[in-house]
Order: sequence, then structure tokens, then C-alpha cells
Amino acid sequence: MIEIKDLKKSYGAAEILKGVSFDIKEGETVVIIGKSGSGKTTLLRCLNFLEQADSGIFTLGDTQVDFSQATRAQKDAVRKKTSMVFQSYNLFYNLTALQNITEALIYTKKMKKADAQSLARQLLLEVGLSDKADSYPKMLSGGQKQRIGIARAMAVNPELLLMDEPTSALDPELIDEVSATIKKLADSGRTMLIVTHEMRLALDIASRIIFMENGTIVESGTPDQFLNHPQQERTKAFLARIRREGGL
Amino acid sequence: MSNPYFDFGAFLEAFPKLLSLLPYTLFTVCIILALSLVFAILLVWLRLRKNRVVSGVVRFYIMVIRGIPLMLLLFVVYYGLPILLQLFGIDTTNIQPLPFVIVAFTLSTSAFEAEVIRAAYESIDRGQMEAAQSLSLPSPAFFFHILVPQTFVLALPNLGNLIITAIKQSSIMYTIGVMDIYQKARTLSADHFGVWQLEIFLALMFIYWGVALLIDFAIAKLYKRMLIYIP
Repeated sequence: MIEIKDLKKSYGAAEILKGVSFDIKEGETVVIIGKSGSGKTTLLRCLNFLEQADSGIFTLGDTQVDFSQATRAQKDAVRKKTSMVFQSYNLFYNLTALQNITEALIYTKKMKKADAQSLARQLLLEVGLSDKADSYPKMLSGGQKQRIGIARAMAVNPELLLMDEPTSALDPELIDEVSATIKKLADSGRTMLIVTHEMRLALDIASRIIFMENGTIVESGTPDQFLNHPQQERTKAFLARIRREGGL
Repeated sequence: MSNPYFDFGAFLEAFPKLLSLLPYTLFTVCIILALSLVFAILLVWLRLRKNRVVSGVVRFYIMVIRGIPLMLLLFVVYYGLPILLQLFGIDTTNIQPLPFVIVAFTLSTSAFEAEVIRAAYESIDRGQMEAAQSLSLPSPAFFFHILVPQTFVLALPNLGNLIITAIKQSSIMYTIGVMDIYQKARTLSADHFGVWQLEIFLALMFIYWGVALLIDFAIAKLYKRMLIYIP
């Protein structure tokens, strides 16, 4: 069970997250959707300590952290149980696809090199890029880079896999291959928290959708509830706008 | 060939005589480059400390060194260093001029290299740092496996320029009496009462130019091969 309680974050006078609470059950794929500026990416980054939240409690299995007084050791503990897929992939440019995956296995998890490599090859197979093991990121398409990014994040076997706008930087024709990879992960029972503004991706993979606006959660529910029976006016307005813009 | 303005024979004859000193010049420059690179890395490391005093002092030092003409720096080191060392009871009267050349050139080159390396380091794509944080990658692994190689590639073209500059600038070591390829050209032309001065110095020019061209070519080739390692 993963629980986020009353998460708050401000930049100066601007309150980005105004006390966000929700939970994620094991094996669930929770998708946070919302306009840009709603705070969804900040929320995700706080959970990986890429941003320092001001307050809130984060429970992740047997680890519990109070953001207002997180110690170095607690941050490390959380980071080791989470991993992140970035919007712009953030692959290590001077390492091959395989090395991108094995780097953390060998140097963070202290795995034997041969074991790390065989695990990495296994993951490359899962994301459909076995033939790209020795390619450098520069030789790969955006979709391929993101699938390597996903494999790299999966490699450390996180209790919670975080994805920040995983398809936003991709050309339209490359989105499907990444969506399919994420869908496969969702179906295999990975616990994931995904931030996106792509409604189609959300509906396709989510077990539950959380709609955020102005740093608060407006509504949450299954894709069917969310799409067909929205309760809140703000959710209805958001869906109407997406329909107008052809995002559904 | 009897041309009153240019003796082609003397021009050709100058080459082997000058080239005999080229290894000496190149070897000296190699020592300077090796030492200056180590010193430059130390400067960058200090310059990027969070401690503002340390980084400020290093920044000021680099600014000062970069603002001094190299020949002047050479004279200051040549005449000043013995006095400084004397204060510590070290006698330098029997020391050859070459070590002073190496000290002065290393000080100068390292200051320029430090700026090049720092600029390269700071232009590394920062998203990779977040990825490393997110994966809890230990700092030494991230530094040596990712930051150092990419800094090297990003700095390579400018480092190539500095190598060529160092070779050309080495010509001023003759001013404190080191017999390098440039001093050889001077003595050769004096041997003939300055009659073939133009021929000899033109030959020298071709040699410097050829070396610069070779280095340029090699660096460009290396850089092209390494472009795959940066965005």
C-alpha cells in the first residue's frame, strides 16, 4: 500500500501543491491528468525527491517519510523503492542502451556485471529492443529512447514506477509504441503512477484516474466513471475542452 | 636557380636543419600540455566548489593569468621564481632555462584549459543528473562514467585550439635562451649573415603550419568519432 497524505509544495509565494492526498494499491496503475500548471509533474517529482516538498507524509510499504523533516537516509530509501521515467528520456548519452540499464544495477544495486547484463537483455527483450543493446541514445528514435528509459527504470525493480509525461516529447507516430510498452507493464501488475495530459493514454492504461487542477485533486475514479459519469463541474469542463480539441 | 630575391635551394636546405629541432619543441609542448591538463582539472574542481571564497579566488587567479602576455609571464617566472625560491633557501643558479619555460607555459595554458573544461562541464545535459539521482547512482560512478567522458568530448574542439596555440607560442621560449626550433631558425640565418633570412623563416613557417594542420585534422577526426557520445 502506497499512501500520500497532505502533500504541500510552494515556490516562494506560489502554492503549487495545496495538500494532496491519495493512495495507490499494489499492482494499480494510477494516472494523474490535468492541464499544465496543475502541479501534477511537481507532485511526481516530489515523490522521487527531485523536488523537496514542504510537508506531507509518504508511506511506501514499510518506509514512511515526513517530507518536512526527511533525512538523507530516508530520501535514499524512498529513491531506492521508486524510479522515474522522464519526459525527455534523460538517458546517459555516452553509454549504450545496455549500459544505460546496467549502470544502476552494477553501481547502486552492486549486482555482478554478468547478472546485470543478462537482466538488462531480458528487459530489452520486454520493451522490444533486443537488437539495440549496443546502440547509443543518439542512434535511437524518440520512441526507442523512451522504451530504453522505461527498461532502465524497471531494472531496479521499484515498488513504485513513476512516469512523467512519458509520451509528450514524442512525434505522434511514435506514441503508440511507447503506449503499448506502458500498457504491457500495467497489465503485468507493476505499480505505477503516471502523469500525462494525453487523455487517450490515460484511458488506455489507468486502473484509476486522478484529475488535478490548481494544486488540488478535483476528482478520482475508474476511467469509465471519469469519462462517462464525472461528478464535478470542473471535470466536466475539462472533458468538454478535450473533446473540442479532439483529444478524445 | 639564380633569383636575386628568393633562393629556393636555401629554402629547401633549411628544412632538415630546422626539423632536427622539431622533436625537442614537440616534446617540450607535450610536457607542458600534460602538466597543464592536470593543473587545469584541479582549477576547475576548485572553481566549482560551493565555497565562495575558494571559487572566487580561483576565478580571480584565472582572470589574472589570462590577462598577462605569455612572454611577460615567462620573464616574470624566469627572473622572479629564483628570488622567491631563494627565500625558501633553494638555490637555482645552476638550473637550466627549460624548467622556467615549463612553469610559465603550464600556468598560462592551464588557465585557458580550465575555462574550456568548465564551459564544457557546465554545458552537459542536466537531465542526466536527475536520472542519476533518481537511480541513486553513487556520485563517483556518475562522475567518472558519465560526466568526465562527456566533458572531454564537449571540450575537445577548444582543447585542440589550445594545443595548436601552445605549439605556436612555444616559439617565444628562445627569449630566455632555450634552443628550440625557432631559435634554430634565428641562429641559422645569423650563420649566413642574414642573407637567407626570408628563406629560413618561410621554411619555419611551413613547419609550424604543417604541425598545426596535422593536429587540427587529428582532433577533428577524433571529435567526429566521439560525437555519438553527446546529445
